[in-house]
Amino acid sequence: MSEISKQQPQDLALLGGPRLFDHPKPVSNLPKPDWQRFVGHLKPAFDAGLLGSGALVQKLEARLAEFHSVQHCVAFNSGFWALAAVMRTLRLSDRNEVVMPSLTYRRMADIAGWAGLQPRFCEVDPVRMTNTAEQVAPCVNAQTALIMGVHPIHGLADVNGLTALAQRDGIPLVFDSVESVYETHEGRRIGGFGDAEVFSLGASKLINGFEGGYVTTDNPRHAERLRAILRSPDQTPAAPGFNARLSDVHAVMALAGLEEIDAQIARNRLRYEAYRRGLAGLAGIRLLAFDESSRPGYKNIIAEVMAEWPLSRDRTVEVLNAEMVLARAYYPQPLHTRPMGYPYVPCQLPVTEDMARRYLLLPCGELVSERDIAQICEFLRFVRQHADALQRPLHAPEKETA
Amino acid sequence: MNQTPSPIEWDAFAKAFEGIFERQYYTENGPLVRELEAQLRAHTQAPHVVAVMNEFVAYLMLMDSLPREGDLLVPEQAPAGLQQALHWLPQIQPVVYRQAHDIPGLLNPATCAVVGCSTDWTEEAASRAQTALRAAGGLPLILDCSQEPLRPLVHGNAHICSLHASAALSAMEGAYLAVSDTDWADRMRTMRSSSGAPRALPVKKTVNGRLSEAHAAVALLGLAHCTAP
Repeated sequence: MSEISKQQPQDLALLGGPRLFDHPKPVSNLPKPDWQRFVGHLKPAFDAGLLGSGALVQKLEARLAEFHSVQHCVAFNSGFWALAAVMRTLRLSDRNEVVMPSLTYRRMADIAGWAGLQPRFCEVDPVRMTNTAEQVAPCVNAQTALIMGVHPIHGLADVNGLTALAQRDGIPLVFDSVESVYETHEGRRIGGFGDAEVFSLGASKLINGFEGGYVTTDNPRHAERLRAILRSPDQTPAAPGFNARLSDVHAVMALAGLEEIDAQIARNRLRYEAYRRGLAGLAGIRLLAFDESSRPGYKNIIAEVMAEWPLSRDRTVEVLNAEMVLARAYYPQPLHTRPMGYPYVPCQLPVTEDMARRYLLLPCGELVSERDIAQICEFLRFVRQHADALQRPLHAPEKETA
Repeated sequence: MNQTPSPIEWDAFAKAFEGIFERQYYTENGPLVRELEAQLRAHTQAPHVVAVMNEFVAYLMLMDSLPREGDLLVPEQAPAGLQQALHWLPQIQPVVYRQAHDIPGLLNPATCAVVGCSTDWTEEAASRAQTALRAAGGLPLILDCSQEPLRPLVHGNAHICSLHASAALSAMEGAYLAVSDTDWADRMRTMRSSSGAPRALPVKKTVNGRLSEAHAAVALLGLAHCTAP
């Protein structure tokens, strides 16, 4: 039995037909912990007047350190400001460049700019979809103050290669681990590699703290320097600290979510399996498989739009979005091609630019059911069948995919 | 130190969070943030209000989007968020002034803006300074209203107000900007996050400056309390 009611091209929402869904199907995770669990953390703190004391933040930091099997966890009000703090604190102070991939978080270069570092963008490995030692090594020079290793939204960074390179050259290595909260590398959970690892507690991430972020490290000096930044705003406002503290209310939300993370992973896996079934045999759309050996979180669903698919990636996103399927390009614009209001090292990155035209982030997370996924996959088959009707320019000229 | 806002009762607090859970809208220019901004617009009579993560981020956004770089006139007791932000803004050099009425005599071609603490600035002083700032090429006057959170935006180009637990209006954490100029407000929204900007304007750098629905909820409860008859 068909999962969707569309039968002819005119049924496409882009061509005036009814939308596939009444409510948007996002790519944001948006996990909602059990209400009673949340209240169980919140009310005692409220009654005791502890909201604002930092007590819940400390509790969360201890739990996260245990979860990641590291000595230290320092919580921040966002992944953004956690990254900014780490870049300012751990960089080599007499140098001014940070090596980072261009195919990554859209604000990463801005963070470097705030930290007073010039981004030097490197290529990415076409299989790992992020920077490995092979791409980073040619970018390291006498001005390299920091290396950013980035766990891509699907799979893991080149942990061993980057670690060896950073140690060889004596350059601090920080991992952006926002999308690899749950994964393990060689049996050890992500969190204790490099000089420090940075995570997010944003609502779209695996652990929802409304907003928030944290840094994990086994280096006590790094941890103390990061804590000093957060302490100093109140004690000595003129010191170079800044207010980036996580609030206790946000910590409560993250605590509740952390306690339910295994159940969430099980639901994520069911969604992933639904995509595997639904996209099996659909020519031109290749679902990226999770590496089961790394204990993945199954959160992000990535598909490659291949040459035999009849539409470009961007047109496919447009068609899906019209149906309330809020698929997104992964990534729509590499960082080195975006305007930057601060110094950076100009470059050309053909592999990155090619990859930025091919990948698609499909709806996932707690607002997407297995039935929704079956309908999305069936709809993609329908699109393939009626692609001719979508070849005419509607909003923008069609571009070649590859 | 007890920083839980005492006027808020548990039932109202829990109900606000229940609503967030029902909507499953946690951050990113959510309905409570929009409601907070609307209420603050009404109170301050400002054309635009932009709610943000905290006072430090508010100052950073405001200062990085000033029309020009140079000397920033700051009071002797500069707000903590401003002092913190200046460490991230090498293009801006603070120049300390003593009293509001000194401002006209301190303006020179290197001046980029003036920041004042609202409790030290009467409307008359603000009016006089603004006249001088207009004559100097339209330099912005920014008042920190953390101790007068609902002061109307009459004179001056922007108000900045901490919503920290220690401020007069507490969200436990947060801040807001009341801005008179539409382009400046839209640049703030562009900088703050990917949602909530009616149009994307060029900015030098973006930040994560989002106020969460949780803190917006607390601010709304506090606002209802401090404006209740």
